[in-house]
Amino acid sequence: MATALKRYFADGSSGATLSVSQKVYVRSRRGKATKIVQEHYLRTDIPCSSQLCPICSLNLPKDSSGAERPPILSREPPTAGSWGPHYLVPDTNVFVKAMDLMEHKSAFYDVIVLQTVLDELRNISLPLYNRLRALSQSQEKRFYVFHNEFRQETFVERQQGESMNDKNDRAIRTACAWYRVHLDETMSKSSEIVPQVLLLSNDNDCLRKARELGVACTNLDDYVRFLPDCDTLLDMIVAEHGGDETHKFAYPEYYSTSRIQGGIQIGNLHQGVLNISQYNYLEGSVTVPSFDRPLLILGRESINRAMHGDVVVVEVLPESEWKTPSTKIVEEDNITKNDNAEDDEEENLLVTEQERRALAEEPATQNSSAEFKVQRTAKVVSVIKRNWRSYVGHIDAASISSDAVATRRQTSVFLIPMNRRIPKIKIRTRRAADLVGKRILAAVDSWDASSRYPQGHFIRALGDIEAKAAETEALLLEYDVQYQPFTQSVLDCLPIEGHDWKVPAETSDPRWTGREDLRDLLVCSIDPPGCQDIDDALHARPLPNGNFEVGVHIADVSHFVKPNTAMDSEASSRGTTVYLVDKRIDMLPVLLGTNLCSLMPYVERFAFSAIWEMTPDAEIVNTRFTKSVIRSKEAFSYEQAQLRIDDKSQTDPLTQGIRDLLRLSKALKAKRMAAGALNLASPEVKVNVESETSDPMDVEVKKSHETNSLVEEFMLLANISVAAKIYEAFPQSAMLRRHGAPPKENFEVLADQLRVCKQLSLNAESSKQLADSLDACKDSNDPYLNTLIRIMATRCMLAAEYFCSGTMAEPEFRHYGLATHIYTHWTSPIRRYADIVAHRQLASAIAYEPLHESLRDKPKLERVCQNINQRHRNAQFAGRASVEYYIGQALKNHELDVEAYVMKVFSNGFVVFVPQFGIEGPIHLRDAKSSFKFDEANYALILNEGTDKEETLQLFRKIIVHVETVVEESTGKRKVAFRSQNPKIE
Amino acid sequence: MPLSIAEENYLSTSLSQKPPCRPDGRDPHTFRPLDAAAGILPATNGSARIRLCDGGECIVGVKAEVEVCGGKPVEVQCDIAGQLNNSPLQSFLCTTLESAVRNALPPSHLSISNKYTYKLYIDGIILDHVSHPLTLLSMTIFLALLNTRLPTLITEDNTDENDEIGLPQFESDWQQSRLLCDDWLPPLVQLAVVAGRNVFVDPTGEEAAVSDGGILAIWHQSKVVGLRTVNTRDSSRQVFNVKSVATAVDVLTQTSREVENALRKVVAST
Amino acid sequence: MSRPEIYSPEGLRIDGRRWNEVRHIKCAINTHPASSDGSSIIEQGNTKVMCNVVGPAEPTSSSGGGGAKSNTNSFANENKVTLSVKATVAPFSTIDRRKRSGNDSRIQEMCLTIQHIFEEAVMGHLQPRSQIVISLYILAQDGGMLQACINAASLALIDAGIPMYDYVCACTAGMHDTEVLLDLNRLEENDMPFLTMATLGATRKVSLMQLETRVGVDKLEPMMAAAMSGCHYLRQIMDAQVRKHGKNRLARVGA
Repeated sequence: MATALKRYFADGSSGATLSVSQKVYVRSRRGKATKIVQEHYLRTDIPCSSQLCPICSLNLPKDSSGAERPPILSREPPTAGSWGPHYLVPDTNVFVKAMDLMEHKSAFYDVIVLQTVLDELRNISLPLYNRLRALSQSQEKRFYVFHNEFRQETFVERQQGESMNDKNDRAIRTACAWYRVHLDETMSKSSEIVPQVLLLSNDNDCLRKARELGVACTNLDDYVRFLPDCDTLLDMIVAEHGGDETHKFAYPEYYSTSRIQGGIQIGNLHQGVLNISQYNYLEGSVTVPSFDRPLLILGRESINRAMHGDVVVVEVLPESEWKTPSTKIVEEDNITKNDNAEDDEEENLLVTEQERRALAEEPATQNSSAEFKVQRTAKVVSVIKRNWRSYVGHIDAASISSDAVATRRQTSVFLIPMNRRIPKIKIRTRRAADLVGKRILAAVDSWDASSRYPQGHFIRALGDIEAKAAETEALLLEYDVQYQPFTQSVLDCLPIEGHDWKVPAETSDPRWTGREDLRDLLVCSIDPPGCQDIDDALHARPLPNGNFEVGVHIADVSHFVKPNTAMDSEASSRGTTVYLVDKRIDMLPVLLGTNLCSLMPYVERFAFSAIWEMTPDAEIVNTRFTKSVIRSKEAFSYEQAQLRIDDKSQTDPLTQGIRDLLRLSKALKAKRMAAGALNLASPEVKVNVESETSDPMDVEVKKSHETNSLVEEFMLLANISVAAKIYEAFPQSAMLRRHGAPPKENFEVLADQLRVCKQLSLNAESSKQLADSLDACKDSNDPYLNTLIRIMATRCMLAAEYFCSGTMAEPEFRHYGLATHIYTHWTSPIRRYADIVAHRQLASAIAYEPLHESLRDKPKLERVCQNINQRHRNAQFAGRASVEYYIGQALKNHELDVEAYVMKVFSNGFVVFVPQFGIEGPIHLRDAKSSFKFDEANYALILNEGTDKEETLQLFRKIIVHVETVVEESTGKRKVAFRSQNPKIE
Repeated sequence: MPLSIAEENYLSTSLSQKPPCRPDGRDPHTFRPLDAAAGILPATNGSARIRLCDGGECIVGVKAEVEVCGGKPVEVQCDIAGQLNNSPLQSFLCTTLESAVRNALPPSHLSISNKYTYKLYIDGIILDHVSHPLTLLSMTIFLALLNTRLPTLITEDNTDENDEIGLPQFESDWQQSRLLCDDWLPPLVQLAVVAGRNVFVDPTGEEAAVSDGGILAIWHQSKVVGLRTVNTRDSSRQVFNVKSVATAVDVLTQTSREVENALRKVVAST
Repeated sequence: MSRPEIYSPEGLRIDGRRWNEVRHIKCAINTHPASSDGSSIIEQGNTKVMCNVVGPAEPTSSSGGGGAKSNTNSFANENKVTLSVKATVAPFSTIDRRKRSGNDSRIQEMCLTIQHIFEEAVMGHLQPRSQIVISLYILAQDGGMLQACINAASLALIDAGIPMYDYVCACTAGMHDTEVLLDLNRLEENDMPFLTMATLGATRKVSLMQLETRVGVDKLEPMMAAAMSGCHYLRQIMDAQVRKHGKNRLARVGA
């Protein structure tokens, strides 16, 4: 690094003395070697930020608004063991190993985060960096980021031949030494105790050199031992890799970065996201752009330490190893039950015999009917990006050695994650016995080639298994739902009037500017019963020319949630409101959601209105949008609205309006269907909960009224109209929603299954043809079959997603399911963040207000889209999981026989779907007394072949199953279990 | 400004007489004083600037980029102030110097792996020139190449069969970069003009205009490895005495050595 | 490697400056007395620009002006001086070598912009029927190419003794979320909307405002205020340099 230091005085307004040096390095990226020269300014005005330092607190730097940042490190920092009051300086490795400790409430206050450490951490892991940044942002733990690299005295230059790591370690020690001298000097006249500056490091060499410099320092473990509750804290430290010189098996090593980059460029390696099968933890698939069908990844060795959701690089295996997807149900706990967590290195084989047998599939047969089922197989050769997060699970009681319970020494135990797709995680703990039977949150830290299972660490216990609070929290954590109460800074963004907020009485009030007064319109809302967050309301009235005026009025959330506020970023990060059976986790504070923004009847509310003029045949003559003020005349439930329509005696204008709406909605729907919109199905059930105790009472399938469809049609229309408008105004940055056409291959299996089992044909050439052929897939004896097929067809489709218009070509905008060329979400801003963005863009498109630049910033919007897509998916999963949990609870004390359909057939079992509860689950034939044979070509299992009790269990067959809930012996986990009752399988 | 016929005659006579008389009183084998600096542009792999006392000035920057083997290893381009691109002078300078550097360059010095190699982009800017810019540009390129450094490759120990598809990785520490010219020197191209039996190095614009013609010599590894006549005046007359060509080779051998040493001192001092 | 923090919550920029600090400036005039009437070199951080001014002189095609344009006597203006600006961007000035063709439209546009600025700043009526050629050489780019070119041209014109109303000083200002940043380097320029402003001396007269990225109207005002203070600060530095040069020169003449 060149070092011509030139002293000079910088800008008069800052008055700081700066000197400049040059940072010279080689950037080696994508095979290029580029010399980079950057200026690096060194200054003397970076504060130490100790409230005890009289010099630095007098001379605080100001930002452009003139605000100062007050000193962060407290006057009375904590003590521990023999260390008096001290500020902590952890090195990078300590943050990597113990971020959970840093976040823990019981210790680690007054911490100095060095810039060197922060930069190193950022290169190691962006999520860790973000967590550390969040810690330093929140005041409570008093983490101060000290920019040592920019301070003259603490800047360290790389010496000839010195490695980057050594240089950084030296920088850390230099900064510690400086802090000590600085505090000694500045506090020489002070009567208070000068706090120590304590370096935390696990690197013995670094500790030795620090001691030589006179810097107080210690090892992380030694420090934690002096803290209260050290057992818990020690469990939270990431385990060091043990000396594994004797390991006898190993996963294949990952390829080198350069080989990966080269291979992807040439095209013999492929990158994609690994998706582990729900029924077989040893089978994964990766969809890559180069191939139409996903690549199969079979077996532990091929999956090679990758986990569900990881971005991996795979190499296709030779054609002789191509296979059909597994036809077996393989569950991890049944196969690896006896693995020993303490010493899994002892075993010689990477792939155990049981696993080998579980996977032993004969290579693809040359059976012509099965030809399309042969898929390319591949192996993982590198993991580009880990999808690791915290996982909820429980301790495998069998993995605890008995002497560990007695001695309380630290032992390894297995954590079995709730998510079947995640392998067991090895964690080290001293409190194994205490943790059994609890829901545990743990993180994955590493996965060595020499370790069969990933290594992780304990974070905290949520509570007892099956306790409602613990299970609900587990579910929220598992689906990454942010359920913490809103922070004060978010609540501060709410109107100060609180619940007393009213639409200003005077129309001269500035808040009325640009708003239309629609208070006289006969507006009403139609929602599910008990709905509190009323997003939308409707009206219709005949016009003198014979046409109709129809209006959709949406809560004006963007009036209350302004861009770049704490509330906005919180909503953006939550993305959506999450509905669980007994709980709603709001995206926006409840004051807005259920009061100020909720379009409740009889009160005036701000709204955003879309108003159309339509002919009686629902042809749109004119569309306009306006901010407005409305007063809803009535809040109906679907059922009430239906009754009102059907009640011939009611002839008031409001009822007439609803009737007009219904008629127009039918016309709209007919047009949509003619254009090829799909009528899809997903199992929807409702769990009735007794309100007091919120214990589930019973489960019913959701009913649908004509009025459901009425509301839906107009919401679709509004969304489509808004999408077109904002795309016209912001071609590069409109927030839209698309639904990609599914590749035809996705339907191949289902079409074949229908052809073989039901002699029905499925045509997925276009959405129109698919819709028509789905309509034709009927069995007059079995009306539910059609719904079942729709459910299965839905699973073949792609997920709809939010996107920013500038990132796709216009033909890609199409919404396949709705058969419209453009679509967005605009009608539920209370519970979806995408709608808030659409609101702001629409408001700007009609010149109501200028558009905030963050809504024009394509990369920023893309990040928003990515997040809300993920949140949206997670919210759906969480909702479903919640229903499943409650069904389990509801069935706890009942056993009953219900109708079910065979939905999937494996060689050793099958999956049934129970319409009544909307749940599905496997039935194993592993322990069956009856003999069975797998007829793969016909998707059937033949029971008791050749005897008089011969039965064929073919796909789609309706059977009677016995439903009960069982507690799994090894885990204490309650799950719904099925047993085939008719035909009877013993 | 063109010379009048009388001026031309006077100059021509003074240069051809024995001993010759140069307008600025210089010895025929003496260079004019010049101002040279190396390593002036930190963002390049190597750079240099030379300024002559007549105002002529040249800046050269060298960039080394990683490319797939097979292309040409060196590209010389220059931009001459006040002239359009693709002028005859420009292409003459570029092709002459490009081939000189290419022939002198030991091929192994740019090699990275059997698939990748460095390619040197040598770009010159001639801000102003009164005399023929060839010598000026050549000296500046020489100086720039002398302080050109290349990032070092991090050699990976896995030498499996797939290695040739791997992209190269480089050491991030610039201090560990290596000199391009560690055990060889770049070539120098010098221009001399001939008037009668006399040979003049570092000719001024006027001297070139009245001379019989120019001779360029490519100097590399202590010897002249290429020789060419150059038309330095507008008229087509270009007749050399054989003896003066031999003299020119001697003179250029001598002066090139001196120039080379002087320029190496410039780099050594920075 | 991930993107570094452009502006840390502690208020430090990627290179260690605070929001209102300009980069290190090094400038010199009369650097090429042999080949031009006025010359300058300016380094603003790692951006380096050289400028030569020839003129005022009789407009001829041999004076080299105009580049690709034809340049005959009909080009001469009866009432005021004719300015012509040309710029050479060295292929090695960017991180990855990039050869621009002589008539790259962005460069042509920049030349025209600079020409218009100085047509207003130079007392052109004093030198009718003559021409001034400003040649800019961009040797290294690290953000703020336009501002460095304007500042270099300003210095070189003063060195050439061309009568001007005042220095023209230019500076950039960017907007990172809600923070104004002064005098952006290359990394900052790539990351945020920014404008280049030039003022006539330490006045509030704006001779250039160039904004090529989208930014909210409400953000414009603070950006302009910051850029203007940057311009005024630059004038101080440039003026000090010119006076220092003058003093040295006088001392030499006196001795």
